[in-house]
Amino acid sequence: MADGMVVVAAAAAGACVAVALAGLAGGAPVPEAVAWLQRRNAAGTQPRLEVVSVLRGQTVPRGALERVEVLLDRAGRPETPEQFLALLAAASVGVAAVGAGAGALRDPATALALAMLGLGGTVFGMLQRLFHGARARRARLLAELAPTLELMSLELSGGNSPHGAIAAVTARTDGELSRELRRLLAAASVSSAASFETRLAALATRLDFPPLAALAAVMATSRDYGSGVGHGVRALAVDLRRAQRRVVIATSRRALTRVLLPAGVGVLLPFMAILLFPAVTTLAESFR
Amino acid sequence: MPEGLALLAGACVAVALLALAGPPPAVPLRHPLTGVRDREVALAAALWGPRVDWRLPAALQLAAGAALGLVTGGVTGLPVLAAGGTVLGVALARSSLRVAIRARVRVRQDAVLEAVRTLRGLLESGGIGVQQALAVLAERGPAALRAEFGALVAAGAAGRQADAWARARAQVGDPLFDLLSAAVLVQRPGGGALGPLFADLEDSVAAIHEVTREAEALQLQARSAAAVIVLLPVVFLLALSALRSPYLDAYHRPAGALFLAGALGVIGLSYLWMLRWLRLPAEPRLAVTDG
Repeated sequence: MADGMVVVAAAAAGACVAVALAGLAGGAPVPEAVAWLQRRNAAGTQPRLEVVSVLRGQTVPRGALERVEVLLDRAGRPETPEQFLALLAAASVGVAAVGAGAGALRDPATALALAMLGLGGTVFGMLQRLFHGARARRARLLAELAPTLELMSLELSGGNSPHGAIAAVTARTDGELSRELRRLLAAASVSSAASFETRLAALATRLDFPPLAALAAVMATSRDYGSGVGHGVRALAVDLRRAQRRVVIATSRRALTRVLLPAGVGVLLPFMAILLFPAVTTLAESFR
Repeated sequence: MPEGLALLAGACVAVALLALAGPPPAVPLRHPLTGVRDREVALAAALWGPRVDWRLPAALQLAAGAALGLVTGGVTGLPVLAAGGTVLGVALARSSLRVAIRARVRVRQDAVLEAVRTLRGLLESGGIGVQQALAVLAERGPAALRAEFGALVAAGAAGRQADAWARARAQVGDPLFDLLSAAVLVQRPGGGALGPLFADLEDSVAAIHEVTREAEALQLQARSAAAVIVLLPVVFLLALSALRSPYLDAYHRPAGALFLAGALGVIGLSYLWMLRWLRLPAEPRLAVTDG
Protein backbone atom coordinates (compact mmCIF):
# COMPACT_ATOMS: atom_id res chain seq x y z
CA MET A 1 0.00 0.00 0.00
CA ALA A 2 2.83 2.33 0.93
CA ASP A 3 4.52 1.53 -2.40
CA GLY A 4 1.35 2.45 -4.24
CA MET A 5 1.26 5.73 -2.37
CA VAL A 6 4.82 6.41 -3.52
CA VAL A 7 3.79 5.95 -7.16
CA VAL A 8 0.80 8.25 -6.65
CA ALA A 9 3.04 10.82 -4.97
CA ALA A 10 5.56 10.60 -7.81
CA ALA A 11 2.82 10.98 -10.43
CA ALA A 12 1.39 13.93 -8.52
CA ALA A 13 4.86 15.45 -8.39
CA GLY A 14 5.24 15.22 -12.16
CA ALA A 15 1.76 16.63 -12.79
CA CYS A 16 2.38 19.48 -10.35
CA VAL A 17 5.68 20.32 -12.01
CA ALA A 18 3.93 20.46 -15.38
CA VAL A 19 1.15 22.71 -14.05
CA ALA A 20 3.61 24.90 -12.21
CA LEU A 21 5.82 25.38 -15.20
CA ALA A 22 2.91 25.98 -17.54
CA GLY A 23 1.91 28.75 -15.19
CA LEU A 24 5.40 30.12 -14.71
CA ALA A 25 6.53 29.90 -18.33
CA GLY A 26 3.63 31.79 -19.82
CA GLY A 27 2.13 35.16 -19.27
CA ALA A 28 -1.35 36.48 -19.91
CA PRO A 29 -1.94 37.41 -23.57
CA VAL A 30 -1.23 41.10 -23.93
CA PRO A 31 -2.18 43.56 -26.66
CA GLU A 32 0.27 43.84 -29.54
CA ALA A 33 1.36 47.35 -28.58
CA VAL A 34 2.07 46.30 -24.98
CA ALA A 35 4.06 43.30 -26.23
CA TRP A 36 6.12 45.61 -28.43
CA LEU A 37 6.77 47.92 -25.49
CA GLN A 38 7.81 44.96 -23.32
CA ARG A 39 10.18 43.73 -26.03
CA ARG A 40 11.70 47.19 -26.38
CA ASN A 41 12.21 47.55 -22.65
CA ALA A 42 13.55 43.99 -22.36
CA ALA A 43 16.11 44.59 -25.11
CA GLY A 44 18.15 46.92 -22.95
CA THR A 45 18.04 44.90 -19.75
CA GLN A 46 20.26 42.00 -18.77
CA PRO A 47 18.78 38.57 -18.01
CA ARG A 48 17.75 38.39 -14.35
CA LEU A 49 19.34 35.04 -13.53
CA GLU A 50 23.08 35.09 -13.02
CA VAL A 51 23.47 31.67 -14.62
CA VAL A 52 21.75 32.92 -17.80
CA SER A 53 24.10 35.86 -18.20
CA VAL A 54 27.04 33.50 -17.68
CA LEU A 55 25.63 31.12 -20.30
CA ARG A 56 25.02 34.01 -22.69
CA GLY A 57 28.72 34.81 -22.52
CA GLN A 58 29.84 31.37 -23.71
CA THR A 59 29.96 30.59 -27.41
CA VAL A 60 28.37 27.13 -27.43
CA PRO A 61 25.45 27.86 -25.04
CA ARG A 62 24.88 31.17 -26.84
CA GLY A 63 24.61 29.32 -30.14
CA ALA A 64 22.19 26.84 -28.60
CA LEU A 65 20.10 29.62 -27.06
CA GLU A 66 20.00 31.44 -30.39
CA ARG A 67 18.96 28.25 -32.14
CA VAL A 68 16.14 27.72 -29.62
CA GLU A 69 15.13 31.36 -30.03
CA VAL A 70 14.89 30.93 -33.82
CA LEU A 71 12.84 27.74 -33.39
CA LEU A 72 10.48 29.42 -30.90
CA ASP A 73 10.06 32.33 -33.28
CA ARG A 74 9.34 30.01 -36.21
CA ALA A 75 6.80 28.11 -34.12
CA GLY A 76 5.17 31.43 -33.16
CA ARG A 77 5.62 30.80 -29.43
CA PRO A 78 5.90 33.84 -27.18
CA GLU A 79 8.26 32.50 -24.47
CA THR A 80 11.97 33.28 -24.29
CA PRO A 81 14.61 30.54 -24.85
CA GLU A 82 15.45 30.63 -21.14
CA GLN A 83 11.81 30.02 -20.20
CA PHE A 84 11.54 27.18 -22.70
CA LEU A 85 14.75 25.53 -21.47
CA ALA A 86 13.61 25.88 -17.85
CA LEU A 87 10.31 24.27 -18.77
CA LEU A 88 12.13 21.52 -20.67
CA ALA A 89 14.50 20.82 -17.77
CA ALA A 90 11.82 20.84 -15.09
CA ALA A 91 9.29 18.79 -17.05
CA SER A 92 11.88 16.14 -17.93
CA VAL A 93 13.11 15.98 -14.33
CA GLY A 94 9.48 15.66 -13.17
CA VAL A 95 8.79 12.79 -15.56
CA ALA A 96 12.12 11.19 -14.64
CA ALA A 97 11.12 11.41 -10.95
CA VAL A 98 7.85 9.64 -11.72
CA GLY A 99 9.75 6.96 -13.67
CA ALA A 100 12.27 6.56 -10.87
CA GLY A 101 9.48 6.30 -8.29
CA ALA A 102 7.71 3.61 -10.29
CA GLY A 103 10.97 1.74 -11.01
CA ALA A 104 12.04 1.87 -7.36
CA LEU A 105 9.22 -0.54 -6.60
CA ARG A 106 11.21 -3.19 -8.47
CA ASP A 107 14.94 -2.50 -8.15
CA PRO A 108 17.44 0.39 -8.45
CA ALA A 109 18.48 -0.59 -12.00
CA THR A 110 14.85 -0.38 -13.22
CA ALA A 111 14.47 2.94 -11.42
CA LEU A 112 17.55 4.30 -13.19
CA ALA A 113 16.42 2.96 -16.58
CA LEU A 114 12.92 4.41 -16.21
CA ALA A 115 14.32 7.73 -15.02
CA MET A 116 16.63 7.93 -18.05
CA LEU A 117 13.76 6.91 -20.32
CA GLY A 118 11.50 9.56 -18.83
CA LEU A 119 14.19 12.21 -19.09
CA GLY A 120 15.11 11.42 -22.69
CA GLY A 121 11.52 10.85 -23.78
CA THR A 122 10.33 14.18 -22.38
CA VAL A 123 13.21 16.12 -23.93
CA PHE A 124 12.63 14.40 -27.27
CA GLY A 125 8.86 14.92 -27.09
CA MET A 126 9.09 18.62 -26.24
CA LEU A 127 11.71 19.32 -28.91
CA GLN A 128 9.69 17.32 -31.42
CA ARG A 129 6.62 19.38 -30.53
CA LEU A 130 8.60 22.56 -31.06
CA PHE A 131 9.84 21.42 -34.48
CA HIS A 132 6.32 20.32 -35.39
CA GLY A 133 4.97 23.73 -34.31
CA ALA A 134 7.49 25.46 -36.60
CA ARG A 135 6.59 23.20 -39.54
CA ALA A 136 2.85 23.66 -38.95
CA ARG A 137 3.19 27.45 -38.79
CA ARG A 138 5.22 27.47 -41.99
CA ALA A 139 2.50 25.41 -43.72
CA ARG A 140 -0.20 27.80 -42.45
CA LEU A 141 1.72 30.83 -43.72
CA LEU A 142 2.37 29.13 -47.04
CA ALA A 143 -1.33 28.34 -47.47
CA GLU A 144 -2.19 31.96 -46.71
CA LEU A 145 0.43 33.39 -49.04
CA ALA A 146 -1.15 32.06 -52.26
CA PRO A 147 -4.51 33.88 -51.85
CA THR A 148 -2.69 36.96 -50.54
CA LEU A 149 -0.57 37.13 -53.70
CA GLU A 150 -3.62 36.52 -55.89
CA LEU A 151 -5.46 39.40 -54.25
CA MET A 152 -2.30 41.51 -54.50
CA SER A 153 -2.07 40.89 -58.26
CA LEU A 154 -5.71 41.99 -58.52
CA GLU A 155 -4.87 45.25 -56.74
CA LEU A 156 -1.78 45.74 -58.92
CA SER A 157 -3.85 45.24 -62.07
CA GLY A 158 -6.04 48.11 -60.82
CA GLY A 159 -3.00 50.43 -60.88
CA ASN A 160 -2.10 50.37 -57.16
CA SER A 161 1.55 50.49 -56.00
CA PRO A 162 3.11 47.30 -54.52
CA HIS A 163 3.00 48.71 -50.97
CA GLY A 164 -0.53 50.00 -51.50
CA ALA A 165 -1.57 46.60 -52.84
CA ILE A 166 -0.20 44.80 -49.78
CA ALA A 167 -1.84 47.36 -47.49
CA ALA A 168 -5.20 46.96 -49.26
CA VAL A 169 -5.07 43.17 -49.16
CA THR A 170 -3.93 42.91 -45.55
CA ALA A 171 -6.67 45.35 -44.56
CA ARG A 172 -9.22 42.90 -45.95
CA THR A 173 -7.71 39.69 -44.60
CA ASP A 174 -6.93 38.69 -41.04
CA GLY A 175 -4.61 35.70 -41.05
CA GLU A 176 -1.25 35.16 -39.38
CA LEU A 177 0.63 36.31 -42.49
CA SER A 178 -1.60 39.37 -42.88
CA ARG A 179 -0.78 40.43 -39.35
CA GLU A 180 2.98 39.97 -39.95
CA LEU A 181 2.80 41.99 -43.18
CA ARG A 182 0.75 44.74 -41.52
CA ARG A 183 3.37 44.93 -38.78
CA LEU A 184 6.17 45.22 -41.37
CA LEU A 185 4.31 47.91 -43.31
CA ALA A 186 3.76 49.91 -40.13
CA ALA A 187 7.40 49.51 -39.06
CA ALA A 188 8.68 50.55 -42.51
CA SER A 189 6.45 53.61 -42.56
CA VAL A 190 7.49 54.92 -39.12
CA SER A 191 11.18 54.06 -39.30
CA SER A 192 13.63 54.71 -42.11
CA ALA A 193 16.20 52.22 -40.74
CA ALA A 194 15.22 49.56 -43.28
CA SER A 195 12.87 49.49 -46.24
CA PHE A 196 9.80 47.26 -46.38
CA GLU A 197 11.55 44.96 -48.87
CA THR A 198 14.56 44.54 -46.57
CA ARG A 199 12.28 43.80 -43.62
CA LEU A 200 10.32 41.32 -45.75
CA ALA A 201 13.53 39.53 -46.76
CA ALA A 202 14.60 39.42 -43.08
CA LEU A 203 11.21 37.97 -42.11
CA ALA A 204 11.59 35.33 -44.84
CA THR A 205 15.00 34.35 -43.44
CA ARG A 206 13.70 34.36 -39.86
CA LEU A 207 10.76 32.11 -40.72
CA ASP A 208 12.70 30.02 -43.28
CA PHE A 209 10.12 30.96 -45.87
CA PRO A 210 11.62 31.24 -49.42
CA PRO A 211 8.43 32.37 -51.25
CA LEU A 212 8.37 35.50 -49.09
CA ALA A 213 12.03 36.14 -50.01
CA ALA A 214 11.03 35.81 -53.68
CA LEU A 215 8.28 38.41 -53.16
CA ALA A 216 10.81 40.72 -51.46
CA ALA A 217 13.20 40.24 -54.41
CA VAL A 218 10.44 41.05 -56.95
CA MET A 219 9.49 44.20 -55.04
CA ALA A 220 13.12 45.30 -54.52
CA THR A 221 13.87 44.80 -58.24
CA SER A 222 10.82 46.85 -59.14
CA ARG A 223 11.87 49.64 -56.74
CA ASP A 224 15.50 49.73 -57.96
CA TYR A 225 15.03 49.13 -61.69
CA GLY A 226 11.39 50.02 -62.32
CA SER A 227 10.40 46.55 -63.53
CA GLY A 228 6.75 45.47 -63.23
CA VAL A 229 5.62 43.70 -60.08
CA GLY A 230 2.29 42.32 -61.29
CA HIS A 231 3.73 39.61 -63.53
CA GLY A 232 6.16 38.40 -60.86
CA VAL A 233 3.50 38.30 -58.15
CA ARG A 234 1.09 36.42 -60.40
CA ALA A 235 3.78 33.90 -61.36
CA LEU A 236 4.63 33.42 -57.69
CA ALA A 237 0.96 32.77 -56.85
CA VAL A 238 0.68 30.22 -59.68
CA ASP A 239 3.87 28.51 -58.44
CA LEU A 240 2.46 28.28 -54.92
CA ARG A 241 -0.77 26.70 -56.18
CA ARG A 242 1.30 24.18 -58.14
CA ALA A 243 3.31 23.48 -55.01
CA GLN A 244 0.07 22.83 -53.08
CA ARG A 245 -0.91 20.32 -55.76
CA ARG A 246 2.47 18.60 -55.51
CA VAL A 247 2.12 18.41 -51.72
CA VAL A 248 -1.25 16.66 -52.06
CA ILE A 249 0.23 14.14 -54.52
CA ALA A 250 3.30 13.51 -52.34
CA THR A 251 1.25 13.15 -49.14
CA SER A 252 -1.12 10.75 -50.79
CA ARG A 253 1.63 8.50 -52.16
CA ARG A 254 3.64 8.58 -48.96
CA ALA A 255 0.63 7.75 -46.81
CA LEU A 256 -0.08 4.45 -48.57
CA THR A 257 3.39 3.22 -47.65
CA ARG A 258 3.37 4.69 -44.15
CA VAL A 259 0.18 2.93 -43.04
CA LEU A 260 1.89 -0.43 -43.48
CA LEU A 261 3.73 0.01 -40.16
CA PRO A 262 0.69 0.66 -37.92
CA ALA A 263 -1.30 -1.96 -39.87
CA GLY A 264 1.39 -4.59 -39.34
CA VAL A 265 2.62 -3.77 -35.86
CA GLY A 266 -0.39 -2.09 -34.30
CA VAL A 267 -3.25 -4.16 -35.71
CA LEU A 268 -2.10 -7.54 -36.98
CA LEU A 269 0.24 -8.21 -34.04
CA PRO A 270 -2.42 -7.57 -31.33
CA PHE A 271 -4.89 -9.61 -33.42
CA MET A 272 -2.48 -12.54 -33.41
CA ALA A 273 -2.02 -12.03 -29.67
CA ILE A 274 -5.81 -12.12 -29.14
CA LEU A 275 -5.94 -15.34 -31.18
CA LEU A 276 -3.15 -17.03 -29.26
CA PHE A 277 -3.71 -15.74 -25.72
CA PRO A 278 -6.22 -18.47 -24.64
CA ALA A 279 -4.00 -21.22 -26.06
CA VAL A 280 -0.86 -19.83 -24.44
CA THR A 281 -2.49 -19.37 -21.02
CA THR A 282 -3.92 -22.91 -21.16
CA LEU A 283 -0.47 -24.28 -22.04
CA ALA A 284 1.16 -22.28 -19.26
CA GLU A 285 -1.36 -23.59 -16.73
CA SER A 286 -0.84 -27.20 -17.84
CA PHE A 287 2.95 -26.85 -17.40
CA ARG A 288 2.60 -25.58 -13.81
CA MET B 1 13.11 7.21 -1.13
CA PRO B 2 9.37 7.55 -0.23
CA GLU B 3 10.20 10.47 2.07
CA GLY B 4 12.11 12.18 -0.73
CA LEU B 5 9.26 11.71 -3.18
CA ALA B 6 6.72 12.96 -0.68
CA LEU B 7 8.90 16.03 -0.10
CA LEU B 8 9.14 16.58 -3.85
CA ALA B 9 5.37 16.22 -4.22
CA GLY B 10 4.79 18.74 -1.45
CA ALA B 11 7.22 21.22 -2.96
CA CYS B 12 5.61 20.80 -6.35
CA VAL B 13 2.14 21.42 -4.94
CA ALA B 14 3.41 24.60 -3.34
CA VAL B 15 5.00 25.80 -6.59
CA ALA B 16 1.89 24.81 -8.53
CA LEU B 17 -0.32 26.80 -6.19
CA LEU B 18 2.02 29.78 -6.45
CA ALA B 19 2.03 29.48 -10.21
CA LEU B 20 -1.74 29.18 -10.39
CA ALA B 21 -2.13 32.27 -8.23
CA GLY B 22 0.27 34.13 -10.54
CA PRO B 23 -0.07 34.86 -14.26
CA PRO B 24 -2.21 32.45 -16.30
CA PRO B 25 -0.58 30.36 -19.07
CA ALA B 26 0.11 32.11 -22.38
CA VAL B 27 -2.03 29.55 -24.19
CA PRO B 28 -5.42 29.55 -22.48
CA LEU B 29 -6.43 26.01 -21.56
CA ARG B 30 -9.82 25.13 -23.06
CA HIS B 31 -12.33 22.97 -21.33
CA PRO B 32 -12.17 19.55 -23.07
CA LEU B 33 -15.95 19.48 -23.48
CA THR B 34 -15.88 22.81 -25.34
CA GLY B 35 -13.82 21.22 -28.12
CA VAL B 36 -16.22 18.26 -28.34
CA ARG B 37 -19.21 20.58 -28.50
CA ASP B 38 -17.55 22.75 -31.18
CA ARG B 39 -16.90 19.67 -33.31
CA GLU B 40 -20.51 18.50 -32.92
CA VAL B 41 -21.83 21.98 -33.76
CA ALA B 42 -19.70 21.99 -36.95
CA LEU B 43 -20.91 18.49 -37.82
CA ALA B 44 -24.58 19.40 -37.36
CA ALA B 45 -24.17 22.64 -39.32
CA ALA B 46 -22.42 20.86 -42.20
CA LEU B 47 -25.13 18.18 -42.37
CA TRP B 48 -28.39 19.93 -41.69
CA GLY B 49 -27.61 23.65 -41.48
CA PRO B 50 -26.86 25.94 -38.54
CA ARG B 51 -30.40 25.80 -37.10
CA VAL B 52 -30.22 22.13 -36.15
CA ASP B 53 -29.20 21.46 -32.55
CA TRP B 54 -25.71 19.98 -32.13
CA ARG B 55 -27.09 17.34 -29.76
CA LEU B 56 -28.81 15.54 -32.66
CA PRO B 57 -25.67 14.06 -34.31
CA ALA B 58 -24.21 13.45 -30.83
CA ALA B 59 -27.35 11.53 -29.83
CA LEU B 60 -27.28 9.53 -33.09
CA GLN B 61 -23.68 8.50 -32.49
CA LEU B 62 -24.30 7.62 -28.87
CA ALA B 63 -27.36 5.57 -29.84
CA ALA B 64 -25.35 3.65 -32.45
CA GLY B 65 -22.60 3.07 -29.90
CA ALA B 66 -25.03 1.89 -27.22
CA ALA B 67 -26.78 -0.46 -29.68
CA LEU B 68 -23.55 -2.08 -30.88
CA GLY B 69 -22.22 -2.22 -27.32
CA LEU B 70 -25.35 -4.03 -26.13
CA VAL B 71 -25.21 -6.47 -29.06
CA THR B 72 -21.52 -7.33 -28.61
CA GLY B 73 -21.86 -7.48 -24.83
CA GLY B 74 -25.01 -9.63 -25.07
CA VAL B 75 -23.53 -12.06 -27.60
CA THR B 76 -20.10 -12.47 -26.02
CA GLY B 77 -20.78 -11.74 -22.36
CA LEU B 78 -17.46 -9.90 -22.24
CA PRO B 79 -17.62 -6.38 -20.70
CA VAL B 80 -14.42 -5.39 -22.50
CA LEU B 81 -15.91 -6.31 -25.85
CA ALA B 82 -19.12 -4.44 -24.95
CA ALA B 83 -17.01 -1.32 -24.37
CA GLY B 84 -15.13 -1.95 -27.62
CA GLY B 85 -18.45 -2.39 -29.43
CA THR B 86 -19.68 0.92 -28.04
CA VAL B 87 -16.59 2.73 -29.30
CA LEU B 88 -16.90 0.96 -32.65
CA GLY B 89 -20.58 1.94 -32.94
CA VAL B 90 -19.79 5.60 -32.27
CA ALA B 91 -16.95 5.47 -34.80
CA LEU B 92 -19.12 3.82 -37.47
CA ALA B 93 -21.90 6.37 -37.01
CA ARG B 94 -19.41 9.21 -37.09
CA SER B 95 -17.70 7.96 -40.25
CA SER B 96 -21.14 7.57 -41.95
CA LEU B 97 -21.94 11.19 -41.11
CA ARG B 98 -18.51 12.23 -42.39
CA VAL B 99 -19.08 10.42 -45.69
CA ALA B 100 -22.35 12.34 -46.09
CA ILE B 101 -20.56 15.62 -45.32
CA ARG B 102 -17.78 14.79 -47.79
CA ALA B 103 -20.36 14.28 -50.57
CA ARG B 104 -21.91 17.67 -49.80
CA VAL B 105 -18.50 19.34 -49.70
CA ARG B 106 -17.74 18.02 -53.19
CA VAL B 107 -21.05 19.34 -54.55
CA ARG B 108 -20.31 22.71 -52.97
CA GLN B 109 -16.73 22.79 -54.32
CA ASP B 110 -18.02 22.10 -57.84
CA ALA B 111 -20.68 24.79 -57.47
CA VAL B 112 -18.15 27.41 -56.34
CA LEU B 113 -15.79 26.52 -59.18
CA GLU B 114 -18.67 26.76 -61.66
CA ALA B 115 -19.61 30.17 -60.23
CA VAL B 116 -16.00 31.39 -60.64
CA ARG B 117 -15.98 30.08 -64.23
CA THR B 118 -19.28 31.84 -65.04
CA LEU B 119 -18.13 35.08 -63.40
CA ARG B 120 -14.92 35.01 -65.40
CA GLY B 121 -16.83 34.45 -68.65
CA LEU B 122 -19.26 37.27 -67.90
CA LEU B 123 -16.53 39.74 -66.87
CA GLU B 124 -14.25 38.91 -69.81
CA SER B 125 -17.12 39.32 -72.28
CA GLY B 126 -17.10 43.04 -71.33
CA GLY B 127 -19.98 45.43 -70.86
CA ILE B 128 -21.06 43.83 -67.60
CA GLY B 129 -20.05 44.80 -64.08
CA VAL B 130 -19.52 42.67 -61.00
CA GLN B 131 -22.96 43.43 -59.55
CA GLN B 132 -24.70 42.53 -62.80
CA ALA B 133 -22.64 39.34 -63.02
CA LEU B 134 -23.75 38.45 -59.48
CA ALA B 135 -27.37 39.02 -60.53
CA VAL B 136 -26.86 36.63 -63.47
CA LEU B 137 -25.40 34.04 -61.06
CA ALA B 138 -28.42 34.45 -58.77
CA GLU B 139 -30.68 33.57 -61.71
CA ARG B 140 -28.66 31.11 -63.79
CA GLY B 141 -25.69 30.16 -61.63
CA PRO B 142 -25.12 26.81 -59.93
CA ALA B 143 -28.30 25.72 -58.14
CA ALA B 144 -26.47 25.09 -54.84
CA LEU B 145 -25.40 28.73 -54.60
CA ARG B 146 -28.30 30.65 -56.16
CA ALA B 147 -29.80 31.54 -52.79
CA GLU B 148 -26.50 33.00 -51.57
CA PHE B 149 -25.99 35.05 -54.74
CA GLY B 150 -29.64 36.19 -54.58
CA ALA B 151 -29.08 37.43 -51.02
CA LEU B 152 -25.89 39.22 -52.15
CA VAL B 153 -27.72 41.02 -54.97
CA ALA B 154 -30.55 42.03 -52.62
CA ALA B 155 -28.07 43.28 -50.02
CA GLY B 156 -26.15 45.16 -52.74
CA ALA B 157 -29.33 47.06 -53.61
CA ALA B 158 -29.72 47.97 -49.94
CA GLY B 159 -26.03 48.96 -49.62
CA ARG B 160 -25.14 46.25 -47.08
CA GLN B 161 -23.26 43.80 -49.24
CA ALA B 162 -20.27 43.34 -46.91
CA ASP B 163 -22.54 41.78 -44.27
CA ALA B 164 -24.19 39.61 -46.91
CA TRP B 165 -20.77 38.39 -48.09
CA ALA B 166 -19.89 37.49 -44.48
CA ARG B 167 -23.12 35.48 -44.12
CA ALA B 168 -22.56 33.79 -47.48
CA ARG B 169 -18.98 32.85 -46.50
CA ALA B 170 -20.22 31.33 -43.25
CA GLN B 171 -22.92 29.33 -45.09
CA VAL B 172 -20.79 28.10 -48.00
CA GLY B 173 -17.62 27.47 -45.96
CA ASP B 174 -15.32 26.98 -48.92
CA PRO B 175 -11.80 28.52 -49.28
CA LEU B 176 -12.38 29.38 -52.96
CA PHE B 177 -15.62 31.17 -52.08
CA ASP B 178 -13.71 33.10 -49.39
CA LEU B 179 -11.21 34.17 -52.02
CA LEU B 180 -13.99 35.11 -54.46
CA SER B 181 -15.58 37.23 -51.75
CA ALA B 182 -12.25 38.85 -50.80
CA ALA B 183 -11.48 39.56 -54.47
CA VAL B 184 -14.82 41.34 -54.99
CA LEU B 185 -14.39 43.31 -51.75
CA VAL B 186 -10.76 44.26 -52.55
CA GLN B 187 -11.55 45.10 -56.18
CA ARG B 188 -14.46 47.44 -55.41
CA PRO B 189 -12.60 50.52 -54.08
CA GLY B 190 -9.48 50.34 -56.23
CA GLY B 191 -10.69 48.61 -59.36
CA GLY B 192 -8.67 45.83 -60.95
CA ALA B 193 -9.14 43.07 -63.46
CA LEU B 194 -11.04 40.18 -61.88
CA GLY B 195 -11.08 38.19 -65.16
CA PRO B 196 -7.39 37.12 -65.20
CA LEU B 197 -7.48 36.38 -61.45
CA PHE B 198 -10.52 34.12 -61.86
CA ALA B 199 -8.87 32.45 -64.87
CA ASP B 200 -5.79 31.59 -62.78
CA LEU B 201 -7.94 30.44 -59.88
CA GLU B 202 -10.10 28.29 -62.11
CA ASP B 203 -7.07 26.46 -63.51
CA SER B 204 -5.14 26.02 -60.28
CA VAL B 205 -8.09 25.15 -58.01
CA ALA B 206 -9.59 22.73 -60.55
CA ALA B 207 -6.19 20.99 -60.76
CA ILE B 208 -5.96 20.74 -56.96
CA HIS B 209 -9.52 19.36 -56.69
CA GLU B 210 -8.73 16.79 -59.38
CA VAL B 211 -5.60 15.58 -57.60
CA THR B 212 -7.30 15.57 -54.19
CA ARG B 213 -10.23 13.50 -55.43
CA GLU B 214 -7.92 11.04 -57.16
CA ALA B 215 -5.93 10.71 -53.95
CA GLU B 216 -9.12 10.23 -51.93
CA ALA B 217 -10.24 7.49 -54.28
CA LEU B 218 -6.87 5.77 -53.90
CA GLN B 219 -7.00 6.13 -50.14
CA LEU B 220 -10.44 4.58 -49.98
CA GLN B 221 -8.77 1.24 -50.71
CA ALA B 222 -6.32 1.71 -47.85
CA ARG B 223 -9.08 2.88 -45.48
CA SER B 224 -11.29 -0.08 -46.36
CA ALA B 225 -8.41 -2.52 -45.90
CA ALA B 226 -7.56 -0.94 -42.55
CA ALA B 227 -11.19 -1.09 -41.40
CA VAL B 228 -11.45 -4.77 -42.35
CA ILE B 229 -8.24 -5.58 -40.48
CA VAL B 230 -9.48 -3.69 -37.41
CA LEU B 231 -12.83 -5.47 -37.49
CA LEU B 232 -11.22 -8.94 -37.78
CA PRO B 233 -10.64 -9.52 -34.04
CA VAL B 234 -14.14 -8.31 -33.15
CA VAL B 235 -15.70 -10.60 -35.76
CA PHE B 236 -13.53 -13.49 -34.59
CA LEU B 237 -14.57 -13.04 -30.97
CA LEU B 238 -18.24 -12.61 -31.92
CA ALA B 239 -18.17 -15.77 -34.05
CA LEU B 240 -16.57 -17.86 -31.31
CA SER B 241 -19.03 -16.48 -28.74
CA ALA B 242 -21.98 -17.32 -30.98
CA LEU B 243 -20.62 -20.88 -31.26
CA ARG B 244 -20.31 -21.01 -27.43
CA SER B 245 -16.67 -21.99 -27.80
CA PRO B 246 -14.82 -22.66 -24.52
CA TYR B 247 -11.73 -21.16 -26.20
CA LEU B 248 -12.85 -17.73 -24.96
CA ASP B 249 -12.98 -18.74 -21.29
CA ALA B 250 -9.57 -17.16 -20.78
CA TYR B 251 -11.07 -13.74 -21.54
CA HIS B 252 -13.67 -14.09 -18.80
CA ARG B 253 -10.92 -14.00 -16.17
CA PRO B 254 -9.56 -10.60 -14.95
CA ALA B 255 -6.11 -11.12 -16.49
CA GLY B 256 -7.62 -12.14 -19.83
CA ALA B 257 -10.05 -9.21 -19.79
CA LEU B 258 -7.17 -6.84 -19.08
CA PHE B 259 -5.13 -8.35 -21.91
CA LEU B 260 -8.08 -8.08 -24.32
CA ALA B 261 -8.67 -4.45 -23.33
CA GLY B 262 -5.00 -3.66 -23.92
CA ALA B 263 -4.91 -5.39 -27.31
CA LEU B 264 -8.15 -3.72 -28.47
CA GLY B 265 -6.81 -0.37 -27.25
CA VAL B 266 -3.60 -0.82 -29.27
CA ILE B 267 -5.67 -1.77 -32.34
CA GLY B 268 -7.89 1.29 -31.91
CA LEU B 269 -4.94 3.64 -31.47
CA SER B 270 -3.18 2.14 -34.50
CA TYR B 271 -6.30 2.66 -36.58
CA LEU B 272 -6.41 6.32 -35.51
CA TRP B 273 -2.71 6.56 -36.40
CA MET B 274 -3.43 5.12 -39.85
CA LEU B 275 -6.25 7.60 -40.39
CA ARG B 276 -3.87 10.38 -39.43
CA TRP B 277 -1.35 9.28 -42.04
CA LEU B 278 -4.09 9.05 -44.65
CA ARG B 279 -5.34 12.59 -44.01
CA LEU B 280 -4.75 14.85 -47.01
CA PRO B 281 -3.70 18.48 -46.55
CA ALA B 282 -6.79 20.64 -46.88
CA GLU B 283 -6.68 24.27 -47.95
CA PRO B 284 -7.47 26.44 -44.93
CA ARG B 285 -10.24 29.03 -44.99
CA LEU B 286 -9.23 32.60 -45.74
CA ALA B 287 -10.05 35.00 -42.90
CA VAL B 288 -11.73 37.95 -44.61
CA THR B 289 -12.57 41.07 -42.62
CA ASP B 290 -15.69 43.07 -43.37
CA GLY B 291 -14.38 46.46 -42.31
